[in-house]
Amino acid sequence: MSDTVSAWQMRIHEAQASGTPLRIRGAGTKDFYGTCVGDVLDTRAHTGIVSYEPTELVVTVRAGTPWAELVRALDERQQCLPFEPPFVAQGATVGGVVNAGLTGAARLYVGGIRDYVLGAHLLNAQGELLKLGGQVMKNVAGYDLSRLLVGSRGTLGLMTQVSLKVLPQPKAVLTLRLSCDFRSAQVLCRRFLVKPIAVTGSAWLNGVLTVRLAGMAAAVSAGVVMLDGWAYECVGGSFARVDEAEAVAFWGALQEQSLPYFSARPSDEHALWRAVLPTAVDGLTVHADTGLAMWGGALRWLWAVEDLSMPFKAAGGHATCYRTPLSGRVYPTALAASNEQRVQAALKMQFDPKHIFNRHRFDTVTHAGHATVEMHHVP
Amino acid sequence: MNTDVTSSALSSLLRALAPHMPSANIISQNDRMRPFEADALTMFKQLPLCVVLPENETQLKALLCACSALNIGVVTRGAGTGLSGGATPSAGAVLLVMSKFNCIIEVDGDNGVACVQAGVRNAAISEAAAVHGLYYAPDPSSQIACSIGGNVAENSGGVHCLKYGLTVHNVLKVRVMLMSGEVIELGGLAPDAVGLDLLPVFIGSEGMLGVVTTVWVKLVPKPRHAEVILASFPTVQSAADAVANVIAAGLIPAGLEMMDAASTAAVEAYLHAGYDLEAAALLLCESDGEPDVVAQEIAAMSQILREAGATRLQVSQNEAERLKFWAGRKSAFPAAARLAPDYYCMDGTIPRKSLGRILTAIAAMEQEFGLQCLNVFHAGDGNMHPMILFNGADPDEVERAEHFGAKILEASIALGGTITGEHGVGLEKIGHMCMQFTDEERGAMWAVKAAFDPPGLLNADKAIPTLHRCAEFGRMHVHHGEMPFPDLPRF
Ligand SMILES: Cc1cc2nc3c(=O)[nH]c(=O)nc-3n(C[C@H](O)[C@H](O)[C@H](O)COP(=O)(O)OP(=O)(O)OC[C@H]3O[C@@H](n4cnc5c(N)ncnc54)[C@H](O)[C@@H]3O)c2cc1C
Ligand SMILES: Cc1cc2nc3c(=O)[nH]c(=O)nc-3n(C[C@H](O)[C@H](O)[C@H](O)COP(=O)(O)OP(=O)(O)OC[C@H]3O[C@@H](n4cnc5c(N)ncnc54)[C@H](O)[C@@H]3O)c2cc1C
Repeated sequence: MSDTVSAWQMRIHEAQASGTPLRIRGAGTKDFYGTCVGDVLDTRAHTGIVSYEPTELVVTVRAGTPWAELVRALDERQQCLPFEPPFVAQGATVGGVVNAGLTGAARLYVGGIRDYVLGAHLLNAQGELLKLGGQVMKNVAGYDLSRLLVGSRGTLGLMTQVSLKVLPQPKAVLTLRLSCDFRSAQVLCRRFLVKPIAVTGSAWLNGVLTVRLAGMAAAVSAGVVMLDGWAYECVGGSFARVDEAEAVAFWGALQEQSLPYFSARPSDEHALWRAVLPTAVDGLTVHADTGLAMWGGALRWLWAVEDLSMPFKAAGGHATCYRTPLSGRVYPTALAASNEQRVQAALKMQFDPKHIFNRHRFDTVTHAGHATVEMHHVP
Repeated sequence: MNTDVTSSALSSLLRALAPHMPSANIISQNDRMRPFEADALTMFKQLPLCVVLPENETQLKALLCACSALNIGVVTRGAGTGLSGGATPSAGAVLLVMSKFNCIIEVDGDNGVACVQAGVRNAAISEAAAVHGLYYAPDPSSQIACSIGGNVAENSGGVHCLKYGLTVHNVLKVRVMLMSGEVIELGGLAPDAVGLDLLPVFIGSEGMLGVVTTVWVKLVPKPRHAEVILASFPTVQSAADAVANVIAAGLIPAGLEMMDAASTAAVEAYLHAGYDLEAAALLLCESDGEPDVVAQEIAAMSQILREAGATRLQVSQNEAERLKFWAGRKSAFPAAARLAPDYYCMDGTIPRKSLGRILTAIAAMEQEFGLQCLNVFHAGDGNMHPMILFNGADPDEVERAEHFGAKILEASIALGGTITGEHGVGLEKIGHMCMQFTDEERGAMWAVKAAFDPPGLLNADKAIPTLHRCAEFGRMHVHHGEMPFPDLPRF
């Protein structure tokens, strides 16, 4: 066991003994994403790729490693992890990426982070090092606890390393654009799910739909023909090719959430909501003409003054207040139905009965430490 | 179990169920329960307390609530095709059979989602989706028989899962009834769960956490075209290298299977697929999708296989030939069955780079145990199914076969692999779980069990061994199968 991991074990034992919460932190790029309580346990000293065999399609990496470093290593072998997590340029760490569970434009087409997790090492609340899952593609021994860590926001324990399934990079990539309203974009994008077309990203921003094709060269050229046919059917227009440099800049800014849209807060009262809906839900529940939608409309980013959690829940989805209003108002995060919540809480109790790890992290999305809403998960 | 206790438990249960369920949905006579006493791992047989076949959630709830109140265990069964004894009844427990939950509720062709009840057969989903040009990708070989509920419980996969993923990658949402009778829904049609994502931990939990009643699966476009390359290699190692080279070139085949010379010989004798009997190893490497893309991939793959030393290379020229090439691989099991009275099919996964090493090790074990072993591999993902041939009528051969199997699993773990790639732990490998996981790791699994099923009534003696049980296995293990107190009953 490495010195860092033993040192963390000590800290967990101390926290356990004194009942003090620990706040697990990578680069802190998602500090805004939930409430934070406790002494910071910084993961950034624990870095490096433990093993990487390109022909096995598996990489094992320590949790404090910057995601960008992992991407560089994969790049050298023309491989990738295609789900596009945010804040890579700001230093997001592997542990933070996996535990935050956030993904970008490719998610609906290539799968979410948990589709790539094969195994993980976890320091639990007792300071024991657990090896969960494994490093092979197919493994059904015991319950798959490693995938449960994706999006758990560090509430189940301290992930020290993770094994991920990687993919070859696509041989060819092409980005296309079409002016259209949101509804037409949604109708068009729905076909990507059920037709054999090599789409790996879609985003509709203020009246323009951007689509990315990627795969074998033949698949990309076939995709262009299909897209043009559908564009003609849907809006009587056709797609324009986007120059490569511009395309890279656009998808990069979308991934990093550095597009102006993400910071264009209309007023101090506005919050940025991350809302997710089933693809089958038609139309836009709010703000029909402006806004940013990804995943063919399944993921929507909305600046709003009102609380959006209920309308999206009613439509079969969920909405989380992602950036709170500057005025200091606080919204609760999206909640599961009560039976599911009870099982989630029971699981947290089983794993971490004293709530040592990331206490309150799931409860509210708050700004500058103004956590006011009480815990929902914890009995 | 004491028969008086059993019969009083049974009569209490029947009394509790009477107002909720027609008596035709309950079977309690021994002779009528025989068909249910084992799943496809027939080594283990046990009659349950009774067999109950609810038709809907109301009846299911009545059953689970009654069992909870009476502290009676429940084992859920789908189609009973499981290969690890997961659906083997437990003495004194109810066998809950989900086959009446067989309705396809909705196929949404516009969004690529099907909603089906748990007892629906895997292949029936694709049949229903075919009118939309869609299908459900995970394709266990048992797909015409096995239920989607069983697939969820086992996280099943098939030949195509290298490219299309396992059950866990293709199920969007499940509706589950807990032992308490409460219903929970895990996952969702809106991507990304709220709070902790319990769906992936539920998938593959072998019926220990809750009863699946309804499943929402992802449907994907049916590939318009497929071609397969049949390639011969002079050594197993050169075939293994060829697999690595295909992956290194950035290609993900739709299927990538390997057979050793012994399997090839068995298959040729059985159905004359035209396989090359000179080859030490055969590879089947498939591409599917749009015709242009397939052509491009097949050309690239052929070149790589040739450069890796393939001595013979055939590309299927039409659908009939493609199916003929596959027929040999798909009949490996019945072909093995002709060579010996019995065979023991193992299931482990190893890192692909160790393929040559494990095959060499298995060859040495054949000498050591004096038994033949055929090897077929899901080579793309390192999942192997060694088939150990033996004669079940000879107790000594049975014992040698079991040791042989255990030793393969030990070797898999030592190479960084796992004791089960797709068949599950069930009853069969519960002892081997002690080899792969520490007490603390199994403790974390029991913690999950406790969160879902606090009284521990669902499939309680399967999959995740207790500390006590591992201690016992450890003792057995040290003695190399010379069981202490062989005359005492074991469970
Ligand atoms: C209002 C507010 C005020 C804050 N103020 C401060 C402050 O004053 N000082 C300060 O130091 N911090 C502060 N934080 C810190 C911070 O939110 C927590 O430290 C957080 O738990 C660390 O995650 P991260 O945002 O760094 O995210 P990332 O590193 O991006 O991680 C995202 C998620 O993954 C978890 N995670 C990361 N690595 C691991 C791992 N290896 N194992 C398990 N889980 C992991 C994180 O806990 C987090 O939940 C504040 C946060 C908020 C919301
Ligand atoms: C010839 C043959 C070939 C096979 N090939 C493959 C293969 O290629 N890949 C593969 O992965 N497997 C394969 N299998 C194994 C088996 O078919 C799968 O494990 C399948 O998923 C089992 O489904 P079932 O409905 O028969 O489940 P059962 O055998 O009835 O049950 C299996 C487990 O699931 C649980 N379960 C069943 N239904 C439910 C439910 N509704 N809710 C909760 N738990 C439930 C049971 O308790 C049990 O633990 C094969 C089996 C055979 C006989």
